[in-house]
Amino acid sequence: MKRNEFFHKSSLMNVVSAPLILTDRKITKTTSLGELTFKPWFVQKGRGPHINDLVWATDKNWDTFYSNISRSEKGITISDTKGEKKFGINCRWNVEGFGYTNITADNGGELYELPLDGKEQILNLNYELAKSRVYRNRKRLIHLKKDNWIPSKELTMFLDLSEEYLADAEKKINESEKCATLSQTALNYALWGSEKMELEKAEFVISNRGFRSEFFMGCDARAFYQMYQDKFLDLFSNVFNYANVTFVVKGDGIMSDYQSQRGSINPETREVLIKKLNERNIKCQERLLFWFHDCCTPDWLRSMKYDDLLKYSEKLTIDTMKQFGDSLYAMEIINELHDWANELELNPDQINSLSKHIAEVSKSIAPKVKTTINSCCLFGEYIQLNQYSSGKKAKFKQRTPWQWTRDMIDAGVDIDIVELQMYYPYRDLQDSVLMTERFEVFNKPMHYSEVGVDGGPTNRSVKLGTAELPNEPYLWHQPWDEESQADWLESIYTIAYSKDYIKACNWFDFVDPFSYMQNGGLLRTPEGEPKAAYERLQYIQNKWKNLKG
Amino acid sequence: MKRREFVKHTALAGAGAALIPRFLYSGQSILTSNRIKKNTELGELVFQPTYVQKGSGPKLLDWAYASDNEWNAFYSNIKASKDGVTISDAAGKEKFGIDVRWNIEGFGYIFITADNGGEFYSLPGTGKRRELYLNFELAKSPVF
Repeated sequence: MKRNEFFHKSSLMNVVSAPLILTDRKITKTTSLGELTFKPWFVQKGRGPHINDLVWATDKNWDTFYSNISRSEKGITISDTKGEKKFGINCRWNVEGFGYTNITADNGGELYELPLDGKEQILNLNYELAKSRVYRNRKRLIHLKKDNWIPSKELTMFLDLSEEYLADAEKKINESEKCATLSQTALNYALWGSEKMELEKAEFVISNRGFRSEFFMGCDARAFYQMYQDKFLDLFSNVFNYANVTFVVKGDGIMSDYQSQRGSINPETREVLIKKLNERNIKCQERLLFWFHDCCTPDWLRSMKYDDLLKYSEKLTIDTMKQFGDSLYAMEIINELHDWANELELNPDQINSLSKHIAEVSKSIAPKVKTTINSCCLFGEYIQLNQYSSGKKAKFKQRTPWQWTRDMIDAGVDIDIVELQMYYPYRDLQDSVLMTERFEVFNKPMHYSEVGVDGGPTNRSVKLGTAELPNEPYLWHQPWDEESQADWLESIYTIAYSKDYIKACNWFDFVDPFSYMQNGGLLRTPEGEPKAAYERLQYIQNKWKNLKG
Repeated sequence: MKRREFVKHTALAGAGAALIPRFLYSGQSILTSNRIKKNTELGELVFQPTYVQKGSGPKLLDWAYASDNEWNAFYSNIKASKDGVTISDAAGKEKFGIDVRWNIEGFGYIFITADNGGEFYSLPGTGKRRELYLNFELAKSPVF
């Protein structure tokens, strides 16, 4: 329904039916049906927590939608899916041996339906999680084997174990706790199998295809101002051929604010950095022109009327592209405006129009500079929170990053590259791969615009109390430390490198303790000691350089 | 030998030592265990590591020990370094295993015994050298 049509209809309805005023919630009130409960069995041995409070529902496309799903002592309950007939549920669940990770239960791919009004159905959460993953692995394995890839013995063993434990769990379906215990073991092996099949297939593809000379190994470059510049340039250019240069309006904290006042740009610090990087043949991407996140939106921008915003955005884009256009490879025009970083409370039409305008202006000034849009929170959990980045209640129906990207492309926004943030997403690697593959349908080159993960406690962070020691089960394989950070780095770069449509993978950030993720840098301190992750990056690059191709 | 007796013997030996021709020392004498033992050194057995681990390590501890066929550790001249584990004097033990701290990513950086799948190792003959793959020997031993 278009905006005008919506107002027209709703005003008509207002005449005959006073309470129906325009909010989604009142219009969709009758979507409530019977209650479906997923009862967790806490068969884990550790102290937990074993389940997180935030739970959410996803549709048949795996897009999160707002529902009345919630977690209580009873379990995870849902009785109003706002009209979505079939759905999956998502929760963070502690799988000892693998990690405390977000997982989808989707009834083995068939999805769930609510029971009829007044009825109640209770399912065993452990079993549903295990079944969903084991069934998905079956399908995925068939798909991955199409190119003559042969799974290793170890992988086959993981999958066989998961199948056998699930079969045993099925036999005990009427003995809930026994069923749950067996399911938990099945889920553990299934998750290891999921990750291993993705990585083995990725390595197979890389090995067959060979070295990708055009692939961008990237990283944020603000460490230029956090350490000795010569040391930075040497260490950075050793492993990276692509740099992200950050241009936030306010709040960068390292380089000067790009705009100390409305529309007046401060280009000097960026100019020096970009020049130095270009001298080393490192391609640069500016990020970002417009990011309406609470952190970085000054009051004068937050309160701007839409018409003024269009004028302001046009001027800023022109000024920036005139100043930097020739020195940039790409320009990130919009960041996270998938109704998450939307503190200006723009509606979807305004978002599309603004984005289209910025892209056109950018192209008109610097046609060779590629335009990008960047998404965060790919799994869209924020939709269940129904909030913008500040915590303010969302004014408009929120979209997932995939839905937002689709809408932008459908609206004709001139995008050259689709960027996805892939900080450790509290998901296993297969989920990350599957979510990434969903974006392939847009037929655009893709970048992993920002990747990174916690590097675990350090002497400095512990002594200064700047980082908390772990207070919950480990998230992925083991508690974060330098080695597990390196393991995850290798995994995510391997996945990116294996996919032809992914052209770049950019680590955030370069040096501790300034990294966005806790101790997520590749260097231990500004003195420049390489962490295991830095060495691992060198290792995989050398490995791939030695491939024929 | 009791302590008093030991002191007495060594004192006597000390007093006469300068007057005794060197050949009379052969094969025996002065009371330290090394000299009492016969030469048990044979050829060199080398366990060659291949560092397939991805992490920054360490992957092999620079200290190792040998154990006998009842899994009792015994003193030997076994040595470990990044280049491998070598042993050429098993103190007369014909059969032995070696115990090294090895980094098994995914499991842990732990001591493991390689015992040739339960058959144990023997030193090669004097002057000979035999090389084995440490990774394989470590894997084979618990499997068999």
